[in-house]
Amino acid sequence: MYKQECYKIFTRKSLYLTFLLFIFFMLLPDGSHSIRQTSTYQSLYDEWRGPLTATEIDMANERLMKLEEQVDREMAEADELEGVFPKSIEDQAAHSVYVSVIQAGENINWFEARKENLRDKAFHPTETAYQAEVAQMEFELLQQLNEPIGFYQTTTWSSTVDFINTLGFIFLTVLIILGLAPVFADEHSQKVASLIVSTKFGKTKVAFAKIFASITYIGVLFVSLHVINVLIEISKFGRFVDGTVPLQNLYLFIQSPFSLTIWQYYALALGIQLLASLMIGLLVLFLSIITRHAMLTFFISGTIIGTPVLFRQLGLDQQLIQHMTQFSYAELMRVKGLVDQFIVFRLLGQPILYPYLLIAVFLLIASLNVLLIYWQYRNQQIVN
Amino acid sequence: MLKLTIENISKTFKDKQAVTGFSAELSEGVYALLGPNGAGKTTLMRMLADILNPSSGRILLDGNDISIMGNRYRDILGYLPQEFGLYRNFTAIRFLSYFARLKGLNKQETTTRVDEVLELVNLQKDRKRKLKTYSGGMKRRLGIAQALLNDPKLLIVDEPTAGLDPQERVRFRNLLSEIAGDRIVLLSTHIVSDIEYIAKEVLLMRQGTLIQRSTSEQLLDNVKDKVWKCTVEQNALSQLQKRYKVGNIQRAETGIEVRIVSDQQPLADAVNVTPTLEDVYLYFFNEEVTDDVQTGML
Repeated sequence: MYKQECYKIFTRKSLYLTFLLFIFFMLLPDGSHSIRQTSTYQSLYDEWRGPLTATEIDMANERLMKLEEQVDREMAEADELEGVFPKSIEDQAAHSVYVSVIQAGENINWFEARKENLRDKAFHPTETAYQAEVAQMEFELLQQLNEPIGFYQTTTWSSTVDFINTLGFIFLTVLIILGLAPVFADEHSQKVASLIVSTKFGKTKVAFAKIFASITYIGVLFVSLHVINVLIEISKFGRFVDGTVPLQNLYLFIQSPFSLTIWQYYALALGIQLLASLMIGLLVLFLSIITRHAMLTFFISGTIIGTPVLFRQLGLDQQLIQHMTQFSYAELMRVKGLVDQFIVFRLLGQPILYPYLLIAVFLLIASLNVLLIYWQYRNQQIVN
Repeated sequence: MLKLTIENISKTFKDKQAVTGFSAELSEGVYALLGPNGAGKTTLMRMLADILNPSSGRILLDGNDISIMGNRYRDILGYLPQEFGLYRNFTAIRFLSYFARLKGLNKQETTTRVDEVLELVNLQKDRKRKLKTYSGGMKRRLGIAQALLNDPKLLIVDEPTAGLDPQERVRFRNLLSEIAGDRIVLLSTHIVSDIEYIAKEVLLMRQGTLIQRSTSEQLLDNVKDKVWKCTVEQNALSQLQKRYKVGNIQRAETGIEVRIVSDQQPLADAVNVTPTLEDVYLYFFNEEVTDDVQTGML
């Protein structure tokens, strides 16, 4: 039964066409790693890789000033008015390293200031006891980070991790909805439902066979998409290095309070995205049963998942809308928002970290969804 | 001995009463459900197939309520709806194997039984073809095959011969006669000839209610002396059709030979003839026999 349910899903040509179209988008060039292949970059990387000292940051500042003076001089001599970057790729590589080191230095200062500010709030509270407790919670998380920021080569990781909350999120969501919207609905549109429901297991086991086949589809889709992405990232930006450094070295996660290395975060993000994919799958299956119409399921699922993203893009910041966005399928699927900042919610007077709460809420929704799918399927009436 | 009891069941859709207080007790044998379109036959069959809940009333199998029996009831049930679809990308073997598993057959039983039913419906040689290449008649035969997969003790078939050619129809009729021995077969049809010789009893339905339940012989007895045959001119035919229930019309050398169902002798030269179930249908439902019925008489 399970095998045939898988066969029904995996023989839909439209899924393969959409998948190939998405792979084509992923292959479009969006960067280059030629700078990082220069000898200048490599020697500077060897020299400065790791946590940065104040001397190293000062040195980077000095060298950047000299390089910019040199660029200005060359421009004046050549009587060129346009262009602010060095011409030679070696100089471009040096420029890029100096800017990165200086930026990292600024981030280190900002990080220390943040810790000081939290220490004050936690141990010399001027606001409520709850706010002091929240500040202490954040401070303790930051304390575990030690010296997280330095100079590392994280481009490949950065792009790979970013895929999860951008294209990966979009492609997976579309393919899940496209693949699963017909699972229950098509039995009605193809007029097979009456045959199935009148069989011995047509009201019970078949519902689970469909759920397991859907999980298989999501699993295969998820693994394929991410494996292909990793291969594309390597071909674009070179091999993965510095995966064992703290997550805060990725630009998008500078503010993250969590003590995770980059690869640990990547593994965690993949796990959460897979979980979110399954939860979206269950939502689509439920809608597929109640609407009995694949296209309608496609649009309703799209609206439920896409509306919070739209709110975010429109910059709507009313509290209710913000909460709707934070507790949405899209936010869980994108993962980044769970980890990139310190967010807590007050539950029974206690601060609860946002990612724990979000995952707990969606586990509850998913369990409810499975029960509803089973109940709805078991009690469906075939009237035409 | 298997006994299916239909206890005063009704079904209402919004404002429309599809079935009203239908009661019947069926034991082993073939039962034919006869009635015009909209009589409630399909709704009744859906309720018996456990895919639609009655608004009121109960259906019992050997005294057990089928809504409580659930899987156990559907385990002995074979159902072929009037309208059904197939998976276009499946072959006949894949389709039947899928349904065999849904009906609770194990792997070994599935292989054997799929072969048997394909043989029964004469689809052995097309078993590996994708269903999208099947003709309407082949699809219906496959539908019949799936209904027989679990060797059902209760077989409910809604218009099973619609779309079958005369040869296939005869084959299906014979098949039903063969298997009917120790099971209940409930068959709805417009094609009177499908049931004429095989039905143990005929249940006539109109506007959601059971109007009569009799053997074929008793039904025929009802219209004895009410079926007439006469020959008329072409121009008199339309007048005749307005005044009487006209059945078969046949062109003859001397004019047009007409079969009329009427309590009184319609014309002076009309002679009494032996009634058929087609005449019974015409008598009870007061409507022209459909094309299907006429085709069925071929």
